[in-house]
Amino acid sequence: MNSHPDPLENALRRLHPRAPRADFWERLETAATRRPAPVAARRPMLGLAWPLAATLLLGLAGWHFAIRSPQPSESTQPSAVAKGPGSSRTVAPSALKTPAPQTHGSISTAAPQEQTVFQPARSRRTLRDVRLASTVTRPDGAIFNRYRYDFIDSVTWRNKATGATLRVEAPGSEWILVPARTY
Amino acid sequence: MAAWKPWFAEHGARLLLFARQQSSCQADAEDVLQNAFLKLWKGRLDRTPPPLAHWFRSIRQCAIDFQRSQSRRRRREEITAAEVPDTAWFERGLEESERQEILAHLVAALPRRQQEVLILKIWGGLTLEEAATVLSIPPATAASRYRYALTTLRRQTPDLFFP
Repeated sequence: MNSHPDPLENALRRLHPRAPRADFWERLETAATRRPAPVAARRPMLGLAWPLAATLLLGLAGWHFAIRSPQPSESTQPSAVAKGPGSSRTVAPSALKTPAPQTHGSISTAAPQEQTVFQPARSRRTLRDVRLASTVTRPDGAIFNRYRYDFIDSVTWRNKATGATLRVEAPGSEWILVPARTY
Repeated sequence: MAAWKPWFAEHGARLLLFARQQSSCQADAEDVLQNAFLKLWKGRLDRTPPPLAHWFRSIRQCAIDFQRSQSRRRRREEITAAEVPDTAWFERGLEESERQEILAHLVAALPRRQQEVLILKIWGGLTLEEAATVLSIPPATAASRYRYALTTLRRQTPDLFFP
């Protein structure tokens, strides 16, 4: 009994798709073994790279501001350092037009005046792209779609006294598993 | 990996055909199939080959990603290269008749949306509902595209199939 009575469909089924090249499977094996680790294992390093870069950029920006700020006289420097509370604020670059006394390049021991302090003013996460990356099957047979979320984290620092702002943007990615609907 | 090799030997041709349909040339199709393979290989924690529908869906997604990454180069190539349908999608046996050769040529020249449904149904072994899921379209749309594909082929080969 012919389950495909349509002669056209029968003719189509008699066409045989071209087989992969003889060495194609070796190519797949090589590619599968060459990759050192699955994406999940590499993700922490990838996730760390951009924040580190952003921190470095922030440090460089602070150092740059510190260098460009007006240099205090010799007599004021020791007193500024002496009065400094040893603030634990991680970032305290001098504002561009702030005449506050400050030791050259000593960002962490910044001057005590509030006008020299940048404080976090705003943070925002902007979603750039969401796409289906792959399908994952757990050993128990549950199927999940693995979505990749690409976003940009933006943190704005503001000097309340001078109104100067510094914005740092760092792209990032997250992977989210969503149970797949099967038919 | 041992379980995948015989599985791939059995189904590799149909996967490559779908990858070829989704790509611009045979080399791109092999790259797309390799990317899909790696994605599925990494995602299968139990290291068993997934169902065919997963393969086709992954191939389609990889082809979209691949085309995005290659879009600039493609645009340049499309300007210079003529649109010549590739007829090497199917095996060329000595016993292949002229009618089969014409049919292979016509399948390669079908509109892409009709092609993908036809390939998934005829050579992929999927039902129209499964094909619709792979392509993220309603089943009725898949069915109509399949019908249009057959109608187009019949219209172009009236003397071959309606003697």
